[in-house]
Amino acid sequence: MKKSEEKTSPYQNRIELLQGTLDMLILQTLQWGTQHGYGISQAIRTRSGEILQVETGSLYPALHRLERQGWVRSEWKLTESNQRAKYYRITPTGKKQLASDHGRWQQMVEAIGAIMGGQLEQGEP
Amino acid sequence: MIWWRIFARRRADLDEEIEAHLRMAVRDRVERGESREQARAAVAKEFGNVPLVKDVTRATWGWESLERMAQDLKYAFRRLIKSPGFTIAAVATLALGIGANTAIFELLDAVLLQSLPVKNPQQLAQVRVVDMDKARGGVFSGYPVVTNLIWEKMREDHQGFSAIAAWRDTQFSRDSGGDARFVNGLWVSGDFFKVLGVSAIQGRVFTADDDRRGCGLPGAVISYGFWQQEFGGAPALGRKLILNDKPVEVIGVTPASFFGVDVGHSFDVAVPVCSQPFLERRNLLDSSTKWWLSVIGRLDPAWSVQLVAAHLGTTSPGIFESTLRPEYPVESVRDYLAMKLTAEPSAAGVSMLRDTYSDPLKFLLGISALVLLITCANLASLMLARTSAREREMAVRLAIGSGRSRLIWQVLSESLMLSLAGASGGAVLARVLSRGLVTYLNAKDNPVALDFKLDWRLFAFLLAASAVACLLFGLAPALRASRTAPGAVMKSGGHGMTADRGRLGLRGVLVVSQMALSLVLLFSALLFTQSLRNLLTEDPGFHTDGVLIAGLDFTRLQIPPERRGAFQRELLDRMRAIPGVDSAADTNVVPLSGVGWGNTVWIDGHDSTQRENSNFSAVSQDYFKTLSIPILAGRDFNNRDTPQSPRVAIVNEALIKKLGLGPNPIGMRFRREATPSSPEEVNEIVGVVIDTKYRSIRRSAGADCLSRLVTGQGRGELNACPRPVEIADGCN
Repeated sequence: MKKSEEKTSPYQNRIELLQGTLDMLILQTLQWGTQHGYGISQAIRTRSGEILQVETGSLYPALHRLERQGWVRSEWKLTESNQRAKYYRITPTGKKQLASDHGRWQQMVEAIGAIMGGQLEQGEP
Repeated sequence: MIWWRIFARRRADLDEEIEAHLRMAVRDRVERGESREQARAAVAKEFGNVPLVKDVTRATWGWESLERMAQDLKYAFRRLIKSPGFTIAAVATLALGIGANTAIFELLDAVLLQSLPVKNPQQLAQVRVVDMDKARGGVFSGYPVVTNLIWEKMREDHQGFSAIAAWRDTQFSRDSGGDARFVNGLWVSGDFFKVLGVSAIQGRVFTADDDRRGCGLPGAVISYGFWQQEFGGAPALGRKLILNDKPVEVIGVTPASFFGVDVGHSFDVAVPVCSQPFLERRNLLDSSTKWWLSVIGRLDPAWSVQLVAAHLGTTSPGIFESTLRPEYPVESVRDYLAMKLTAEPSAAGVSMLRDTYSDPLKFLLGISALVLLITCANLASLMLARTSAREREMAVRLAIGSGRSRLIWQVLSESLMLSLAGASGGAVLARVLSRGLVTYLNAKDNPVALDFKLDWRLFAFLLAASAVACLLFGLAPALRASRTAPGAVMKSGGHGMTADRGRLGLRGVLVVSQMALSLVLLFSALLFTQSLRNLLTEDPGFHTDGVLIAGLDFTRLQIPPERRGAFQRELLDRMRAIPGVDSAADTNVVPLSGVGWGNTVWIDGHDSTQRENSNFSAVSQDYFKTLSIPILAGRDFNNRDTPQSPRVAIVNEALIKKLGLGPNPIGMRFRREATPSSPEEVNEIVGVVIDTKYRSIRRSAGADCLSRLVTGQGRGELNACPRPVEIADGCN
């Protein structure tokens, strides 16, 4: 995964994605239905409350990589506004991958939370 | 190129995908109330560098290196197109280098490397008489030969060989309705095709049953080439051929790949050995003095060639003893009984071409390899000069982050393209050159048919040659170019760094090696020219300019023996009457043709044990005049020399010395041993000529050359040889 090296984000209140989480987010987004690249980036933005933004320079390589790994599949379809767009759909193996990613993420959050929470407790009078 | 199309489609796909993304983003913003221009600018800013996004996306396909290679090749191609002078020079140099190499290799391959197109050729061995010089009588080929009697003995008992066969190439006159021509014939024993493992593609080949004494003419097996040429590939089985005025039925056709066992000469028609007396006037089957059959056998798996050779050595006395006939010259019987047979490997067939040309061909290949090396050095310095001119460009590329390997690959791809172009040019050139070489080897009556094929070996050779060339002249400049420190080049203010001391190293090495190689080449060329000059100026003792040789076969005219002399005399007289013909003569041995006739001679009155070998030619009046051979003493033959008059002979100086005849040999007599066709006879010397070359220009001048007259009386010898009588007439 390519990490964006841009230092100044156009939206100050947005944060960069944590490395390794983009694949999971894409797969999670596709759980809710087939979607094209633009749709995926919009979905991640709205769902995160306008906080997470996906760099296109990361999104498309990620999509193509996921497709190559067989976790998503793509086909050309028409949008509601009658435009041709490439739609991605999650595959059964993709779903398995998502489950394992999710599990690992959960562990990570708990572990980090435990450390950070412990520090906070210690610091309180 | 399928993958390339897939790749192009995927690229277009990606372009469209991103296009759609941008359109949708703009649309969303416009719907939210932004102006179209604002929306576009914002989207562009948000999306970032479009080509970069495409690049990194494509990188995930895993085709990056391929894509890069294609880019480099395209770039190299553009650069080469931009400097046509350099490109043409480089490609032409390379094409010449590779072309010459390949042409020689093709020839070498056809003559030396290719095995016979038969089954398991490495099991084949040929049988040879160890000391053939002692053999008396007629030797019909330059190849190892035995008499039919010896062959039949070997056929009876061929221990060590699982099967054994005999063959002889010959010529048949062939009547094809109107014009008579010669076809290349082959006498073969019944098992010939079985031994070689060649089966017919149509009809059948001979079996042992076809080859029995008194068989008449049971049929003919024709070659694929002859089938195509004569019958246009139409069904040939059962069709009649007229060979030497005898009709024969075609019973089979051999595969296209089979040319016989004599590399360089293909055959048209094969007939069984037993039909020889039927097709030719003279019966060779029961003679112990007609050496005409070559024997080839397939080794028994349990035996090696050495074992077979040793075995033949022990059985030889028996074989020779049982094949001796009373006709054999009495003086030579002891030599005959002492002769030995041996065996030698024959996997690649037998070939005069190979014997004659293998060393020159190897030498030529070495020379052209040197030329290729020089070619490479040349190209390397050309490339080097070119790369030097590009140093600034390289420096800039390095400065903005181009990888070293990428730069090397770019320069390499340029040389790769050059060598590919050179190799294809070379392939075309090689075809032309090898044809030319064969034409050079070709003689009219002796067409050289070589099996040139663009097989994998040749292709591998070509490819290897060009790959080596490519590496040699591409890598060095590429490495050098990438080693340049960008800053240094920039600072040098536009001047290349080639003048630098440190850089002289590579160029110096190139120049020195070029010089060294060129010197070697120059010396070899000088040596080569020297020996060529030697051969050209080698005095055969006669003048070949303006001499025309015609081979005639009188058999069809059915002239009775007593009329033949007169007929030949008349023929010569009519030839002399043709405007432009200075003189004409006939001989049964054309000098330097490889044909020879030898007998022993001794001084009349001396003991026959003091005899010497001598070459003989039966020639007519004017033979010496026609070939401009000076008569040193005495006279030429004339019309008063007839079969009834005492036998006369003209001898050369070497024979006089050999027999010790003294300063004035005219009028002296010598005896010639008895031969199967004539008794011992006395000859009177009537003339002396200078020494001339007899069988080959390479052998030392006929140390014992003697020309004996039969002055156009057409005695036995003239028509006796299976080859047509040769007539030499000088035209100016």
